[in-house]
Amino acid sequence: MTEIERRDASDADLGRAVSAGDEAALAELYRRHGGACFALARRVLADRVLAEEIVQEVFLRLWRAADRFDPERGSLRSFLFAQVHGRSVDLLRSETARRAREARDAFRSPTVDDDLERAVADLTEAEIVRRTVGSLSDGERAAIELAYFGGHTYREVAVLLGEPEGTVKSRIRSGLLRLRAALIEAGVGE
Amino acid sequence: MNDPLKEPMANDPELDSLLGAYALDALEPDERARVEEYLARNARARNEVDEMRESAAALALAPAGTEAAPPAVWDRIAGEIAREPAPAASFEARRARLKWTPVVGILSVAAAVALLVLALDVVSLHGRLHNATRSGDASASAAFDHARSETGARQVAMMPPHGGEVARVVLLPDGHAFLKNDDMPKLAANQTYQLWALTGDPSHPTPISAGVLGSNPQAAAFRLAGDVHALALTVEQAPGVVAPSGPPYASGALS
Repeated sequence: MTEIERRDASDADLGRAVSAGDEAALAELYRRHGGACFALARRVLADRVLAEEIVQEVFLRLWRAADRFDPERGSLRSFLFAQVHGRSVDLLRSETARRAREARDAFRSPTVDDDLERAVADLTEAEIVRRTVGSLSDGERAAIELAYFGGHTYREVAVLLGEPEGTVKSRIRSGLLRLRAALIEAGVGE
Repeated sequence: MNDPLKEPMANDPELDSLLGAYALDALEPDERARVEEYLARNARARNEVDEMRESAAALALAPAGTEAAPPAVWDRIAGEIAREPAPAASFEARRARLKWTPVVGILSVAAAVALLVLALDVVSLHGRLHNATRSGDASASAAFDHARSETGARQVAMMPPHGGEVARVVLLPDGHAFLKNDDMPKLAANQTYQLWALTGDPSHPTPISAGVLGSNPQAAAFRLAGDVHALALTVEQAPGVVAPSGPPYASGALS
């Protein structure tokens, strides 16, 4: 695959090339998604060094076992983000990081602000995301954001929001499903 | 997680209510384990989680506009990759053994004469291959010519089942190798030559990708290590495949 072919290749094609041992294909995937992976990890962990370590680990895991990605089950991007998020949350919940998070949380409100909306303002795709996120109820949005970006369990989210646990888990599920439907309708992430 | 041997499980409203939190990694460990057991046995629930993870991925795009992929992290990734073997062969590659057995039956006669044992694994350095070709096929071609005169260099003729030599490979004792195209025709733009190292039991070899060469390679640099007993070239759809899609176009035993 030439450099031009790689630039034009789909994520799925690049994933297959990585399976075949094509390091340059991995580099192209890193170019495309490394920044967003890093941003996600840093947002969850609030720590640049730890975020870099997570991104390094996730891309090395992709290199070592690219066939764990199943294109039938979703996009490579969502696969990478799920890996980054899962590892970030695991780290966040470790005892050492928990103390750091408590210190971090002391400086920010547990209530939801419009940070998410501000961050996505200038991107076409992210603009659609912003609009669809805006279609969620305040309760859904608050629960999803605290769980996803805050790295909290739904039980912790319930405490933070002062809501019953059952309400929070229902809102997370309904919000994610509503978001998915809205994104598909908008032509994003099909 | 997906164990086909497990019995399907009926929909469970209580577990269904946890799927959203599961997709966001927001469950306690005991609940997570219960949901994973459920997902292994319920395709509808599994699909719902996949859908919700796509939603989460969209949310994760939010910070993307302000971050570029950190170059220092890639440098560390590339450094790690350079120190370790190529990815393990996929299930498809392992299945490919069957297809390739007859081919290697022929090759193994010559391969049995002398196996080239270099190290433990096959290392495919596509990035370096790419660099070599990007800096010009001429440089890889010159490296090929230079390598031929190196002490301990071995030369392998790559030949189709019925026909003369189409390419030559020079192998150096340290594992570096160079291929030179003598008579490989130019392929269509959507096709590529792919180079394979045949490893393992010569009578049931495992082909492992050693390089995706492009549609019209003139020369290429790559590296081999491990119990490689033969090389093979296939014609594949670009951008390359994880396992050979058909019999080799040309092959050569390392004897």
